[in-house]
Amino acid sequence: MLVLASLAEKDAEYDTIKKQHYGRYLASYCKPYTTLVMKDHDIVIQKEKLIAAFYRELVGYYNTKNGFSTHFDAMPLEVQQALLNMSFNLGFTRLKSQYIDMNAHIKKEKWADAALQSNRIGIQTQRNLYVKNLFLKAQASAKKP
Amino acid sequence: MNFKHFTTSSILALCALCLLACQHKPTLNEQVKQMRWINPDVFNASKHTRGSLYSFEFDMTFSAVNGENVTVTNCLELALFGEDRVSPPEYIYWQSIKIDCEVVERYYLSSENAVSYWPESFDYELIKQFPATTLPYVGGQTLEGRTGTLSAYDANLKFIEKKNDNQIHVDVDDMDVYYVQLARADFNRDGVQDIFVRMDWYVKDAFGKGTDWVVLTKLSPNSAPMMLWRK
Repeated sequence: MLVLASLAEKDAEYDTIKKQHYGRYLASYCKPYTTLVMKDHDIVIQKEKLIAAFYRELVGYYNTKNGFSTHFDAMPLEVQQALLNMSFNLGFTRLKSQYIDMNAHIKKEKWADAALQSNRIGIQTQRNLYVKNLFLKAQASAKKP
Repeated sequence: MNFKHFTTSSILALCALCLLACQHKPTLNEQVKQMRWINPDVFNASKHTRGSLYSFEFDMTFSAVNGENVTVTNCLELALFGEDRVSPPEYIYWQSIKIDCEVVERYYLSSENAVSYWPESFDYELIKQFPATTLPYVGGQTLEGRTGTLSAYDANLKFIEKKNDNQIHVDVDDMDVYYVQLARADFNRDGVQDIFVRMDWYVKDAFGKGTDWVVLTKLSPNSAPMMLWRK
């Protein structure tokens, strides 16, 4: 039977994992050091909360007040997906302040140019291609009458 | 011969000689050379190097995108396994081992000893003196316009923890960055020792993480560390 863990137990588990050799081992390495289990339902709730938080940040920046020609919600769906994907990985602050060229192209709705500037370093090629293709798809749709 | 003139001249010549000797700086060849070094905490018992790149062995099992477990034991197998086959959550580990291979290859191509102007200790004070571009490159215009030292450019640079003698945890550019000294050697064979530093990074307000590397050199006792190569 599952019993709810106390905050102290969660803290203790966190500390135990934190003390392990960081970042060099696969998730399976940490498994023997864990005792608590998170229910799938709670994992989904956490995920939804995070996506909502990222979405709020994107809406707060990608709007006409900041020089964009449209509001985030009015941008092509593919562009919204690309930006959400990038912010989930890079963080909103980095997306806003360090992807200067990409944001300049987004302001002008030049999606193909934005695609070229969306490349991230340190992630797999497939993930970069996924985002690049989202921008290109938005560009292709924009050309249609 | 005027004895007085001879004595004065001799004394003057002797003084000039002493002065010259005092001004003489030792050349590279005359300075004490240091043996190359590779971090034993990283290249420990589970990863063997027996004097060449080809003898570098390890034992890592990755989850492939198709769900299979794939075990790789050397750099060739790692390269053949390929970044497109490793499952995304485990990509960082694939990258990390790839950097190990990079270090080992460069290490065994380097001079066995060289003059070193690096301080003995790898600590936060040294990291502060690194070039301002010595931080993980994650894309965009992150590195543009970064000049001077890391501490001068990044007012928010903050020491978090010294994990061990070769690993410093720093808060920089909204990331948790672990600077790990992997090796000291004359990688470019110019007679001066360089350091190979891995930077493991974790974005603080999101879920991005990765690993990057730089090779830095220091050409004289008073010169600032310079970027030699980066990934």
